[in-house]
Amino acid sequence: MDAIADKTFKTDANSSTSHNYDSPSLLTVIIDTNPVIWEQLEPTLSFKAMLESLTVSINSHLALNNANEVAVIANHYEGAQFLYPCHVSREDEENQQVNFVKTDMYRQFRIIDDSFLSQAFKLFKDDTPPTTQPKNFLSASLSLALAYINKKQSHLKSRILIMNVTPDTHLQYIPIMNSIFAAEKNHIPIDVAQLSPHYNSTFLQQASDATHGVYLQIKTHTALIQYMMTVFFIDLSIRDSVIIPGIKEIDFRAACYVTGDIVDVGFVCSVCLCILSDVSLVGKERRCPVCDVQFDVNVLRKLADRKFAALIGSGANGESGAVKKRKLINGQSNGTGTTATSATASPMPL
Amino acid sequence: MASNLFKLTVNDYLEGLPEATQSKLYQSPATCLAIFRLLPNLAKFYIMTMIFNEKPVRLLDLDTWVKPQKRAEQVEGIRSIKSLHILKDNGEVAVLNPKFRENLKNVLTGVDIGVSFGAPCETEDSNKVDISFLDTYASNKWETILHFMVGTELNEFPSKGVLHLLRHSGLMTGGTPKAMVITNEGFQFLLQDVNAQIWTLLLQYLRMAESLQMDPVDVLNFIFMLGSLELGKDYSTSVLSETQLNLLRDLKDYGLIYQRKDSSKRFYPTRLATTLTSDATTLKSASTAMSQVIKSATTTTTTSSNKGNTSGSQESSSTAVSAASSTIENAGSIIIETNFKLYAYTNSPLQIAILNLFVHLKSRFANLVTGQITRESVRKALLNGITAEQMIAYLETHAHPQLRKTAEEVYQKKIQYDANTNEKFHLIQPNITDQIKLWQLELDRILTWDGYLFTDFSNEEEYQVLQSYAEEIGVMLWCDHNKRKFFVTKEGNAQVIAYANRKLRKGK
Amino acid sequence: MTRAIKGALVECDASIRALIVRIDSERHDVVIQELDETHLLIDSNKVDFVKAELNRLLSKNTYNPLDDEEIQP
Repeated sequence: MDAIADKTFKTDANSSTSHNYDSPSLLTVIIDTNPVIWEQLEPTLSFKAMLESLTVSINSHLALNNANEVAVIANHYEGAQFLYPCHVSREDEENQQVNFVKTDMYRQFRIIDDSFLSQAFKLFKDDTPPTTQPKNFLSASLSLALAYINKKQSHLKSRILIMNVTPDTHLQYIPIMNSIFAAEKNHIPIDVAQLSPHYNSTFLQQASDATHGVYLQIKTHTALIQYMMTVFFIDLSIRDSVIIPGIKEIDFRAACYVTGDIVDVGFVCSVCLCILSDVSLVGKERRCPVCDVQFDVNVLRKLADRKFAALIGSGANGESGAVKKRKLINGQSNGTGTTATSATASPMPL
Repeated sequence: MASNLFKLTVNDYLEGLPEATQSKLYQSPATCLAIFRLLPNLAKFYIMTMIFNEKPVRLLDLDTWVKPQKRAEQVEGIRSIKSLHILKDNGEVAVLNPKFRENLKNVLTGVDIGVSFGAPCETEDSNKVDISFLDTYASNKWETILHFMVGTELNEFPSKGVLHLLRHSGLMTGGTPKAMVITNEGFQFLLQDVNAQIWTLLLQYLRMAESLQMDPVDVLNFIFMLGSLELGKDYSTSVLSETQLNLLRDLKDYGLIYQRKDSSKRFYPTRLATTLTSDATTLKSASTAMSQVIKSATTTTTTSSNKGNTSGSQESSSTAVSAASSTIENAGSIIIETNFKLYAYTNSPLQIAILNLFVHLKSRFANLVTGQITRESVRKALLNGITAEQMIAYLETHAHPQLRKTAEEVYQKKIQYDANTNEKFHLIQPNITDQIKLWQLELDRILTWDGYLFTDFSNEEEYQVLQSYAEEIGVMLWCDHNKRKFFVTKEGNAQVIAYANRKLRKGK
Repeated sequence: MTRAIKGALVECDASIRALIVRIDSERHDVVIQELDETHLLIDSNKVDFVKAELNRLLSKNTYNPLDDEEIQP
């Protein structure tokens, strides 16, 4: 019996290991279209060259499976907006004189490429260059992408690819982290191509780390297409089998909820876990700026003193401040409800 | 899994072609794309990593991409592109077939493609047809063939060419159309999804075509081109070769192509054709589109019959809305419970006929049939030559989305609980699949062979001589050295006896 | 003296073998020789009969939900 039984059940075991059948996938690309930064990058990598490489890699994604889909979102300085899919009014279609891709291209590719390139073109055509410092709408773009993916998730697996150039400084910390957690929960990997050779993005490193995506800073721009076809071409169907390139050291620092600065040493509210870069931020009311809980005056004073001492100490040793976070504990032990006990020295993992 | 079935058969066929034919195939960009889509996932990845890389890649570098525990997939991926001669290596470095590489690159960049993806008609068709017309047309043609196979009473028979191919491929036997009956292979054929069915017939057609001196490259190019055409567009016949025009005429009979008149200079590909090179999900939506056609037809009839009845018309309008919104979601229709009860949301006589092959159907409603999988119903199917695997595959490909969703949720929870779990993904409850397999095993509980038992040897030497001779010529099925007995097949018996007579006489 | 006995070789697991032996115990014309734990030599004309009989015996061990329904109107 065993000998016979084995046969049937073994063939089954083999076939179920090949369970990773070719399921179609959705690639959502978020392009950073901040004109100021692109201008700075111009000598090594022009926006146009990036679009060319991106178009080819989008085509390759569509070539994998003809049920594959793409969505392209522009993270523009005025807000996030869809480049594809996008409703083009009849008028626009007729007015459009420029053909961005050759007409004899494979139809499936041509329709998508044409649509998203013409939208990108429009974006820049009727734009006046920004006079004020442009804002970064990455969190809005991520939310748009996640909302779109959620709509498609019933029949498509998805991943997000972010083509980023803008530095972190103008980012909104909380919305970004929320988007990252949403992506993580839905098993959507976020791949990040950091195109600027000058700086890395702390939050996007965390994004790809939390969602098992790829983060890579591209320094040699001439080989962009090769990067796009290898590192950023790991389709969901082969995620399980391919070794995903990662970075050794991930910057896990967080940003202050009030000032938006990235902090080495911070203070964490024990009630709402918000991060503050300085004790003085609780103000005269001694209340947490986020959840409005009242802190104990003694603990605050102690923490302020210690921070002062730490700064002096580190200055003397010539080291940077110890990366430790003090915790304000709002203890309920003695009945008053507002008395806090002193903080433990253990850092809070972020 | 079932969707991979057709890929495997197509790939097997392509891999079996001589290298010269394969290289000729790579001349056409559309064919390159179609072949690329049929490859295993890792093979696709390798090709993409190499396509813009001018230098040859070291074989060792290919290894570094893949996790050690997935080595088997990698080996399979490389084997498939090697036997298609897309990848060539000299033991150290690997390069892509230059023609294939160039053409696939052109497809991706949109350069220099020509009419490889079909030549759309320049002029407007005065008798233009829309997509729903094409869907109805295709499903009518195709289902006529399937209905003919299951023996439904039909007003008209499929064309002669179709009948010939059905007979040639061994799916049906019998001389005249009326006398034709389905074979075991035919039953198995019915259980496959539409795409696999079409490919089965197309591959048969190809084999037949070769014997008719048709150029397989021409035929394949045309089939792959069909897969890349756009539904609802009309294409010109002017760029087709003589062989391809012949093929066009034949494919009309299967509902892959619509042509208003035989002499018409334009043709429309139907959904059956445009999904030829795509995967299971699109297929399901293709077959859903067909059931949608049937559904909308019934919806309109119910609306008209329910005029004045408010609740009735509300209901039908809500089904119409849900039908429109769920074109893709509503891919499958079968729900199966752990107690072997089965519910299928279908009113297609064909699907019911197929389910009837291995399910004991109990009741039928307007849009639902219920039934039960029993030992008897499965045995009946097994005796018809349908395997347990095929039944399970059918249930899996036609599973209701709700069933799929629940199964995925359960699986995700298991993974979250224990990331290293060995638990496999089960779309159908394992107790059902295991039981169906066990029922199959039951049939194999005894294996029998007719033959002769050699026994009562007077001495060890005699036994040894005859036993080793029987074993050598491969007719021995069983032996027991201690009791000095062995069993040979009916066919081998005469030889052993002749040998025994020679030996024993010599001994005396 | 060496003999060659005509028959059908049956390969099965021990439980099925026991069932076949039981079938034989009622009629005594099925099994010619018991070879070992998983093999039997049976009358080659009785193969179909044995299979049908086995099926009958095994189906007793399976719960058939349809039987229940037929009893309850």
